[in-house]
Formats: sequence, structure tokens, C-alpha cells
Amino acid sequence: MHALLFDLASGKTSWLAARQAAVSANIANINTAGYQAVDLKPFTELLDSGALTAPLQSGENGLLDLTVLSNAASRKKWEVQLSGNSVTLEQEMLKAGEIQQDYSLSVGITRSFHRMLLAAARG
Amino acid sequence: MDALQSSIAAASAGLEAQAKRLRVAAENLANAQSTGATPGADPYRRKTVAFATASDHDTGATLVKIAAIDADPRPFELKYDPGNAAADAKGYVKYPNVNPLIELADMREANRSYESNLQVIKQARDLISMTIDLLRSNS
Repeated sequence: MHALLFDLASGKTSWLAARQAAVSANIANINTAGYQAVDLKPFTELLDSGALTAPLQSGENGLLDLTVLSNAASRKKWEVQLSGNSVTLEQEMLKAGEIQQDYSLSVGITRSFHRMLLAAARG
Repeated sequence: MDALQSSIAAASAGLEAQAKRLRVAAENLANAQSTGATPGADPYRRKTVAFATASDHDTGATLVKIAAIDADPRPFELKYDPGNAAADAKGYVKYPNVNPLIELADMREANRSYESNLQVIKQARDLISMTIDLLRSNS
């Protein structure tokens, strides 16, 4: 039970760190012609598939692999530039804010749970 | 490598690329009036920057690099100025194909992208220190 909650928090922070890497790749390539924005699969999808029982991995078909957002999808919501670049600064900032919040939440939960565990151990 | 570290690597590659782009814009602006030295000689030709996605072999992180610094093929501007050392037989001087307005706009964009990359580095550092703070005395 305890291990489960720590695993969950650690899985969430790994996922957020990988998403931060995706945002930073997008922003680094904001002026690269033909670059298509990348993102991760939503965390809920990983949860539902029961993937969290195994350690999260990036690399060949890893759970933390980046997926290219299709231009058609981003064209609907955000603009795609004439050069074929589908990165929007506003969208990336939005994602970065979300990451910061969720990371802070996740770390806070870990800390408070750890405190509870310590309190129980001390008696 | 840790995902947060590779995100800092990507952002710093972005910083480097934008800095080079700013350098090229500065070179273009500085040479906006550089004509040739001999009659009929070609003046300074505007340089252009092309970005490309690069991949870090060690970590697999997505970076960015300057693919090429090319010469702008647009024609030079001709101005009538018979007193100039670079004037041809008819008195026309070739001026560089540099448009200061375009260079200034390019500079602005480089500046903005540089700032965004800096912001990413700040945020990644924040996330790292949040994690490290977990290890500090449980307060």
C-alpha cells in the first residue's frame, strides 16, 4: 500500500520530467522549418493501461516516448506556420505551467505521505 | 540521462542557436552599406540562417542546431553614385541586399526565442530543486 503510493508519485514525476523534456525540445525548435511539435501520451492513459506496475522507461517503444502531434490536429486548435512548424509558444508556456503545478503537487504529496509514514513509525 | 537534464541540454542548444542567429543578423546590419572596393565589384551579400533538429547521440535528446549559414540570392540594389570608388562605367554602385527592417524583425524574434529557452532552463532547475528539497529535513 505504501509502496504503491510512492510508486504512483514517482511515476507521475518521471512522466512530468519527460514532458518537460518534450516542451523544451519544442521550444528549442521553435524556429526550425518543418518541425512538428511533440508531446507525451496523457498520464491517465498510462494509469488505465496498468503500465505503472512496470518501471517507466523511455527509448524504443518506452512508455515515456514522445509522440508527434499531427499537423491536422494542431491546425484545428493552434496555428501551424507557413514553414510547417507547429510549435506555438503560448501552448508550450501553458504546458510548462501545468507541469510546474503538477510537479509541485506530486512532490508535496510525497512529502506529506512520508511525514505520515514517519509519524506512524515513531508511534 | 535524466529527462530534466536533457531538457536543460535542449534549451541550451536553443540558446546557442539563437545566439548564432543574432550574430548573423548583427553582421548583416553592420554590413548594410558595405560596397565593393573596386569599380563594379560585388558588395556584401546578406547571410541567412537555417535551423535543423539535431539528436544527441549519447542521450537521444532532441536538440537544435544551425544547419547552414547561406548567402541570400536576392539581387543587389543599384544606386547612381558616380563619385563612389565602387561605381561602374555608368556610375552605378551595387549596394548589399540587406533590408534593415527584416534584420531588426529577425533580431526581435531571436531575442524572444532566447528568452523562452532561458525560461525553460529556469523551470527545469525549479523542478530539480523541488525534488532535492524532498531530501531536506522533513519540514
